[in-house]
Amino acid sequence: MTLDIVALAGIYGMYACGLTLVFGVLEVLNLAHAATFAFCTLLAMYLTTTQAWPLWQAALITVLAGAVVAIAIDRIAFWPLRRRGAVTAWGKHIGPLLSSLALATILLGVDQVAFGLDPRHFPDRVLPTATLHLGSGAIPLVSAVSTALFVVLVIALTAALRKTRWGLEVRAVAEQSTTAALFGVNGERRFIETMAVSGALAALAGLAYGLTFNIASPDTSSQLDVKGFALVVLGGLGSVPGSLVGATVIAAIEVSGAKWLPHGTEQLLVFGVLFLLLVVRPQGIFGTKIAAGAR
Amino acid sequence: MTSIFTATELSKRFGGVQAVVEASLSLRQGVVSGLLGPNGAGKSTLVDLLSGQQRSDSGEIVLDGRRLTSQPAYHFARLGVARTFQTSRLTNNLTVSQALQGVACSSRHVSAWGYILGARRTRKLYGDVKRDVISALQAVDLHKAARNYVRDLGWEQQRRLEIARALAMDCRVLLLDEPTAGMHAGSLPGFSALIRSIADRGVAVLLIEHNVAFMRATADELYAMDAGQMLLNGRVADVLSDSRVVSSYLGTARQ
Amino acid sequence: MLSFLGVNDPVLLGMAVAAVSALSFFAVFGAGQFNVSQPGFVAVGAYSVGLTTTNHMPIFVGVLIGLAISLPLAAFLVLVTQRLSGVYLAIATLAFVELVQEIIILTPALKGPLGIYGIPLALSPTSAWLIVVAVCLVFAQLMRSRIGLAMVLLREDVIVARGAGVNDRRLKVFTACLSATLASAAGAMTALSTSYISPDEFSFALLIAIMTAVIVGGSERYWGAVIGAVIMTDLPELTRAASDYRPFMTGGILLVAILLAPEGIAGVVLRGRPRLARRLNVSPGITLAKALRRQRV
Repeated sequence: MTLDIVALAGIYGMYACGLTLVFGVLEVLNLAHAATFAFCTLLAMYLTTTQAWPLWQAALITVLAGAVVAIAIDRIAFWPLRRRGAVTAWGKHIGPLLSSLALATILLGVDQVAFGLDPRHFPDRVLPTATLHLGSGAIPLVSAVSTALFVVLVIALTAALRKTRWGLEVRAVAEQSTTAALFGVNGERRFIETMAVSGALAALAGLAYGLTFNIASPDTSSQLDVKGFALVVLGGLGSVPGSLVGATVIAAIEVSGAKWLPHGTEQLLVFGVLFLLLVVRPQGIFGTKIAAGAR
Repeated sequence: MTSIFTATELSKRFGGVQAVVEASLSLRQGVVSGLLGPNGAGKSTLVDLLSGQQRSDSGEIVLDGRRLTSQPAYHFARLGVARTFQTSRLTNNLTVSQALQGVACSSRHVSAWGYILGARRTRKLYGDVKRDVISALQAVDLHKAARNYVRDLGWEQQRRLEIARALAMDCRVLLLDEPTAGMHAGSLPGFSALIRSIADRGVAVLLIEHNVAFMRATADELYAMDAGQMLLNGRVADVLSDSRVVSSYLGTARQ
Repeated sequence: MLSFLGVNDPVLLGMAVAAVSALSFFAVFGAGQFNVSQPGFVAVGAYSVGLTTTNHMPIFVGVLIGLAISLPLAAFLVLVTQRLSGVYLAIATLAFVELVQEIIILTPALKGPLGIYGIPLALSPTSAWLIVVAVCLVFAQLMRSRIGLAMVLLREDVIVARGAGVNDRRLKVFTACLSATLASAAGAMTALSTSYISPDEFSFALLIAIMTAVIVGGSERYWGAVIGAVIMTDLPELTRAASDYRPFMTGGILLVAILLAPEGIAGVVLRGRPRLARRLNVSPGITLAKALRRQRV
């Protein structure tokens, strides 16, 4: 069972990491993240089936596509509002949230038109069948690799944010982009780069998801929409290491809940935990931005 | 003149910082009491405490014999304590008249259901509110801008709107937090006269200001504060020449 | 002419339901609360009516049960999340919506994922729209009264509102209860007009539809919500042929609204035509403009 948790945590983790990164740096809850995730999974499936590409090629293109889509989301939905200093009665966080929602809907349309409404799969020749045997349990190689990759990415990203000049600039821009600009930091560049990373992470999560469960349809994003919030809130919105914690805990709840509780109850548990968390400790474990939250 | 608004030994701590230490003051009807102190002295925090926006850790606040300590902010407002904000808190997407009507109705807590059900007495009350809003606007010379959106107002107009908001509440106590910040010198005499006229109507005014000349012209008495503590109070001239006040503002002279 | 616009009985019913749902969101959004729990309460209303009518009980009993559950639940929800705002409040209330959905799916007594069939089609377009008109009348008066003005102040700036004497906690509870009542009513209307309800309907997707209606129509005025609801419900009908492209349309309209006209249709009307705006922008009693003129200012 632990290995199931590990496998799921890898998928959730990469997804959560991308989402929390965007929130931390751009101060926006990107509601199109789930749609990007679904799009990438479908794209990879399409490329390997209809276009008969080898997996590595499809994966590469998919990750690139994820980054490109994310950048497009920024340019279309976030940047115009940033530029305007969107002043509305709702405050500056709600506008981008709503525009990302609009783009999510549009992406859904793209999915439907490009890939059809029916569920898609990876072709058998492409699916890795190797399993890793650890102790008494077994875990598909795909899952092991993706989770390991996730952990490496979290460490690398956290280190990059703390130790490198690039990371320093990203954090400066996250705090206060106008002041950062005064110090010569190219805020827009950093925002674009952050979005690209988050898109790539969504794509990786999508690939891992697709190769593990081998089914995806335009509907897939709706599963992860609200659950994604649970993932990021637990670790703290805006905290990269937090995404590791959040993903692991939620994965643990889901897997153990599915094992011990009546079918379906584990979903209830996840949302219940999310709600309780927000009531008791909205900033999560490593919470950084309470700006939009508790007063 | 008896004091109507008394604060005794108020304190406030934020984490490791003691922002206000056992500060006391009392305000009287018709009197403009100035409050002087360098930045960081705790003046704005004190105003937060006096208006109920923050709860004091200790001490008492009494208005007209009523104990206001630890009441929520809206209670202070309904009993007639009004304040202006140093950084203009604006209701940007409303028109000037909408903003003031909102303030006037809420502070008087006129019956909403009475209005909806068309009770004649309630409708008349709303009419009175209308009139008060108009006279508040006239007092600060903003009546021509009544239909403008608040975000379209100029800086000085916004400062005057802050005052109009307090007047629309029919306040008994007015706490002014650096109202002349950013105003150009030519408007100051008029502003001073405005504040004096408000006091003359029987309002107890607290005026926080850095502009000493303005303080001299407008205040009847002065309090001085530094590092969260009330240093002294008395006649304007006396306080301004006190050595402690001078050194807290200017630092001790190097020999 | 109406049929030319793709409007027939089911569409009229759909519009009415959408209008009431949109107004339920306006009740909280107009007070600046990003409380998106409405789909949950729509579910409560729909299931209350659905279960009672399929068990030989009169409709009004279902409606009352729906209200009896929604009101305390809404108040509880608000009080428990009172320290949250913005994004965090949205996520918390979204979690609530998902919880309601999951509870319905998992409870056998609520017929689970299969839904409830055979609810009487007891709602006619006329009665549906009478309900909409009644709700609008209430809002018209409410927004001009102290409560409406306080809602607007609360939306703009909490600190100013409190400093003006607004009891923000009580106002939040009030608006949430109003919202839940309307959502529950919309749920009852849904059940009675489509004769089949299932848990999928009361999801994040429903919320998106509601929010889009309010934002496109204009979030600053209650009638904006109604306009938005009518337009967004009619759109799929007008463009029957291009049904594949529906997500592009709804998404596209919302995007255009946020980027170009965040104040919505109502906002454009109010700002773009000052004279018309003054007439529609009603304030308590006589308009201030007339009062000023009378005083010869």
